[in-house]
Amino acid sequence: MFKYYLHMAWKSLIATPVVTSLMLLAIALGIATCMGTLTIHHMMSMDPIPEKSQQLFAPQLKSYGNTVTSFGMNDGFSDQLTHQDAINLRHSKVAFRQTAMLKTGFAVQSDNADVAPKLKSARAADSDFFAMFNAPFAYGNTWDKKIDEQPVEVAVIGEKLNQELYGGGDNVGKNIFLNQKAYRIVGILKHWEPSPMFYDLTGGSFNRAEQIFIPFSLLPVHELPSWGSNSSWKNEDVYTYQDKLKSETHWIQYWVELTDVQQQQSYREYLSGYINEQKKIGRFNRDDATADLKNVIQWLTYNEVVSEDNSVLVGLSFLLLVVCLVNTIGLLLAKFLRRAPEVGVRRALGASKAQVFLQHLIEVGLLGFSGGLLGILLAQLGLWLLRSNYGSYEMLANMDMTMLLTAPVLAISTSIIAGLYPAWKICRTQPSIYLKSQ
Amino acid sequence: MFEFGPIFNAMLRHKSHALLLVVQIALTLAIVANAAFIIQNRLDLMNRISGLSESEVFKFDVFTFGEDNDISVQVELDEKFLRTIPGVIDAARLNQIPISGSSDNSSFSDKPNIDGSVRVSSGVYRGGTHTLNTMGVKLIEGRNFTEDEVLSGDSTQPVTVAIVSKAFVEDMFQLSPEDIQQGKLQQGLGENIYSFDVPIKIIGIVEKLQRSQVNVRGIEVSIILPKISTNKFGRYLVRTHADQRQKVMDEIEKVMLKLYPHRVITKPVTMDTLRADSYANDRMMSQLLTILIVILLLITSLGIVGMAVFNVNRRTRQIGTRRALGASKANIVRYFIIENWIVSTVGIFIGIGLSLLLNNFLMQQFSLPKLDYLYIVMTMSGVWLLGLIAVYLPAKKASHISPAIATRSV
Repeated sequence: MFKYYLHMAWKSLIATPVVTSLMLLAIALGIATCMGTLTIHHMMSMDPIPEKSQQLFAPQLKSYGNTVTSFGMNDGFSDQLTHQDAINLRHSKVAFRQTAMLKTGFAVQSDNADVAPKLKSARAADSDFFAMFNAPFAYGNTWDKKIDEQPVEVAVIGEKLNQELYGGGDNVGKNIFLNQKAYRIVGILKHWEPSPMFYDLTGGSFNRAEQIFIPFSLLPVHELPSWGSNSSWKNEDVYTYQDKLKSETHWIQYWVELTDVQQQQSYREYLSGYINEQKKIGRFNRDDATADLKNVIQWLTYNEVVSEDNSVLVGLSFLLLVVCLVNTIGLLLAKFLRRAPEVGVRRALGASKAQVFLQHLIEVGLLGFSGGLLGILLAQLGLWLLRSNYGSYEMLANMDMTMLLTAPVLAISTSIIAGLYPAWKICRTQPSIYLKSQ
Repeated sequence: MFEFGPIFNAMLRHKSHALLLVVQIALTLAIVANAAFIIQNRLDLMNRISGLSESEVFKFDVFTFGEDNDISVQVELDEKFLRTIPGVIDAARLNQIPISGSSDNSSFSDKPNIDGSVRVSSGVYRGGTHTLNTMGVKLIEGRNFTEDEVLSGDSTQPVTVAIVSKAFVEDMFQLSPEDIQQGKLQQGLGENIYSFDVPIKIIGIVEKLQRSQVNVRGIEVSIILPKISTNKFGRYLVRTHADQRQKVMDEIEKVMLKLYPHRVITKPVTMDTLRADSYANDRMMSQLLTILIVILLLITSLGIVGMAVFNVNRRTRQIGTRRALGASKANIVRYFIIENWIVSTVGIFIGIGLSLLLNNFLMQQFSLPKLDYLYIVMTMSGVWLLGLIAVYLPAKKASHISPAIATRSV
């Protein structure tokens, strides 16, 4: 029966090509607009590390003095730590894994000194970084844990840089030159680009992961400059790098991995103990000095990773879909009612109301499905335009499986909703009226 | 007159058709008015003037990795050399470049660090005596820095003088536009402002100078401090004659590396590019909303056409009868136009309410401003006009229905 209805639906749709294409266009445009904005929303709000997002935490300290009334984010916490706090937290053994981080950069050369150096960003981190954030190694591994205390010039590089400098392959053991200093390559990552780049959101949410990672312990050795945000609440003389390391400038990112609730509780206790300890030596001198832990998902919300503009666009495009829906209801009603005499005869010949209703709904469903497919094509075209015009949307403007499946579902359900009233109206046709006039 | 009564009664016979169109028009009005308003907002943001002579300047960055280089000496050499390149008007090393998105900001107050002082958060530029001329900003009060006032980046002396923007003075000394008109701007001149408790004297006021970050409140609140940064990473702004800018940009890497080789010179970038990058999101938002408006108007007008065609077809016999009874073609056209006008008008009035509701919602949920009613009025007229155009062709077609139709029995 379904097949027969489908056949009928097809015949009916091609019988009125103008109305059908109008409806198809309305559904396709509505779906395309919604899918386009929804895709970007979906990619922006994606959990970048679903297997661990509940176990990775960014600790925050309300460490500023009572000479200022506000500092940092809206809740009074800063999104970064001072160097001294980072170093102190690194000494604790409570967390399963932890890393302090700084975005920096170098003039980068391979072992071929003839090629001019290129300016590239790099990340100073601790040896746990890769295991914490599930960064996969193609060759080699992270540096020895001892290096986190006793600095040595070693580096882990990304797949892309490995390709660019050495033409790919296993180059563990070779040297990479950062500011003309040799760093021994100990590991090469596989493709790894978490999006959003949750572990450091200070320079924008959808940057690409750095391609060079070096030990955090090298900071004082090579006086690595910050390529990220630096903010301070205190008036202090900062002239040398040593001054900066001891200052109240917030410029270090910090993450811990806490495997279970118990460990999270212990870490919270550890942090409040730390604050009390610091209070005794004259820091953190404000009454509401507290600590906070935010996991990856909370961190993304806290940093407003999903742009407000995108939310407005999603809202408006769904309103647009409603307009398309209303439009389709109108056209369907017109189309179905013109067929009333025919339906009258069918009813007289024994078709039940339910059968008439179902037949029309199937017609609408077919229309919705085709509109949805056309909508996906239009949305892909739109996303492609977005990607080619706005570099920062290269990773965001891509439909994944979820979105590709959402489109036809949304299209069919929208059109079925649109078809309910017209189909109900037509199935209530009184056979007698039409039989009389025949 | 105009057969309002009969038209209205006829519509009531097919309520759902008219109702659907009313809903569609109302929603369209609400969305288009709000979207157009957001677009205009973004365009206004993007068209703000930076204060620089944008067509004449470009920037590039220098990253020094050689260890054998005294950067404070090198900066002086670089600046001097840049100024001798043919076509170059002036050049300066700066800590940050306007509208490029860096965020070197600091807060200043009108009294030393005590309660009750006015605090102003400002963008901070650091540079030497050539800063004003290189930027091309207009000094409206006071004077430029002198060479002895300019500190080197590794100096431990505090800066003692500053040049500020007009907006800085307005905010710091809380001057109203009337005060400015009465020439009270000079009041700021010679005053001390405080960075923590270090006094800094205002020696000059520039007409306009935007910050580096564009998405902040008080984008024109900026201050220039006489200090030349000597970090390994530095930025240069170069002002050239507009027609020679490209030529200078093309050779900049080569000549800079000739001066000192162990450094990376980044690709020179014009202000147009910086502007495009900084406002990429606003540009995208206005483009996407424009597409949304076009799609919406397209669908709604197709809806109006669709309903008109449907009505014409349904009423073929009635139209024929009317024609046979003496109605002119114009009467028939008028019938459909008035019918559409009634529907549009009802839709528009509901749409006004919806527009305000939608704007209210957007204001509560997001940082959107209050809708300017002008946008509702403009969209209203647009939708009215659109309705007329959309209904005209089907109405015209209806008027061609022959009176003979009426006399033909089915």
